[in-house]
Amino acid sequence: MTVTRSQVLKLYRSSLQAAQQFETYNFRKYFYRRTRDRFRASSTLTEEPAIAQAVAEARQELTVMQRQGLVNKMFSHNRVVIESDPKYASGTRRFAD
Amino acid sequence: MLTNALRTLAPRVRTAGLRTSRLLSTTTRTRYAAEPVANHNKPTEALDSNTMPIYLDAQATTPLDPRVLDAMMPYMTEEYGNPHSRTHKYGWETEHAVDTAREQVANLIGAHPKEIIFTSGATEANNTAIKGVARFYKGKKNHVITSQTEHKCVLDSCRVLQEEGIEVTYLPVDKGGRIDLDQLKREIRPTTSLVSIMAVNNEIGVVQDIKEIGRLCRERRVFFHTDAAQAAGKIPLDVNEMNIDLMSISGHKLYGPKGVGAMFVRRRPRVRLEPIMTGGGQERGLRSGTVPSPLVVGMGAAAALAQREAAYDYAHISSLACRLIDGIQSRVSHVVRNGNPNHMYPGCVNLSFSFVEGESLLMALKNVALSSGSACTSASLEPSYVLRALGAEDDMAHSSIRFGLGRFTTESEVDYVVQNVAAHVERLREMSPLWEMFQEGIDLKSIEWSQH
Repeated sequence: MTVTRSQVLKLYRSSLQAAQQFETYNFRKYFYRRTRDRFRASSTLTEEPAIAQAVAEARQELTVMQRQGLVNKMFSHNRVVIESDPKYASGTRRFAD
Repeated sequence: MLTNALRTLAPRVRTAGLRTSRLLSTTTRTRYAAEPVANHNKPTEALDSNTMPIYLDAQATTPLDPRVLDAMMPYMTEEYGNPHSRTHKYGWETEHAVDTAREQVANLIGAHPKEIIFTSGATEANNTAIKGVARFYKGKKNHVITSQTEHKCVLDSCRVLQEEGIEVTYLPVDKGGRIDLDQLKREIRPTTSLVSIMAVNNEIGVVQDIKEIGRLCRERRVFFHTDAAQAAGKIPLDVNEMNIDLMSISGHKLYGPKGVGAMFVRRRPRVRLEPIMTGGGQERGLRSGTVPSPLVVGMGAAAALAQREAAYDYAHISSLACRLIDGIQSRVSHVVRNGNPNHMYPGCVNLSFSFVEGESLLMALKNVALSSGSACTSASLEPSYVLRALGAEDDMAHSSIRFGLGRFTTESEVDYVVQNVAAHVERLREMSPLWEMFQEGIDLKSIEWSQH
């Protein structure tokens, strides 16, 4: 089964959104960065099986992030100090880096 | 100097408290008396209750990766079977999960799954390996070699062995923190049963030449144990390529759960050891006790993840380390990185700030979670024995701080830390009479300090 470009883009978008769901600053930033880098690295793949495998892995990762984002939300109540520092906190809650 | 000031200050504060309490009722007085001794490591000004400092203590422990927790969850909720129960499905499923974890840990270090023994942590693994081997071979071989910069649990295990009549050689290290291979060669006797050298030092991050040590030990038919608590999952390790016979790994240093570790015990050539735990005969009889399946599953997942993410994490941590070191060195003068710069694990940056007391810098940096050395000794104000073994002067050993970078550290955090460190070092130096004297060109070594 071939994966279309729009399917991959949708998966990418959902993954970035799932990463943003983590309340804990360090996890949120990490999963955002990891997702972005993983998709960028996979964007050069041309072989059909390799693409299928990368997509399957990304789907798996997405479900993990969605579940754990939820768990993280339920239990986290602390903020790292730089989140309240306007100099460093710019865009920490949004998609920008 | 500041240390002394703190030491003299603490009792004074306490007596003042007692004196006022005499005027109060009896109940208040007992409450005063029960108050604990002041903790010098606590920041003077507390952050607001929901704000946490930046975590830069990855050598003490690392956060549990959410992906690891995800793997553990089923075994903490539904799959509660005892992995050693052979008569029902609950047991089989858990056993299968434990076997998978064993395979994942084995893959990380290039071992066979049957060579992995799960323990409660690296401390237990170190104890079992060192005491176990030394005691088993005690009849013929009664000598053990280790180094002066090992972790406390290795040094203490050796001390226990000494009390039992086994001879122990503690190898010194050079200025960079590495042991001298020629000296190791000279120290190996026909009666030597075990050499135990850690792979990555927990305080300064120095990487020992494990491959050469392993080759040497194999040549001389001595078992080689390495404490890889700080190394596993962070630098490439292969027990066969490096001729390692025993290895200790910790779960919570590689983003896994606390309370679990693993020990690698080679099967060919067979390493035999006397177990510390006896009982049900689990884990090849080397570590009896029910295997904690959720923790073990977490450790397996953490190992698999560390293996998969090794290159990505290493690149990230290296770039952060460069950013941190360059940032600090461009803003602050007289900063020395401890350890041999050519053989370092980048995630552990140990810096000495001249003319600044490490502990006072730690207190000043209340928005950063740091330590001046290992967590085990962070309660005392003594300079680290590791830095002393490196031959560091007392003042440099007192002024060291360890920055532990990890998978979840961000660039903004490093920038924040650099800026904070620079500001506080400058402020503390302004207050320091030593800095003033140094600025005036007085050689501090020429001063004779009065003892009191």
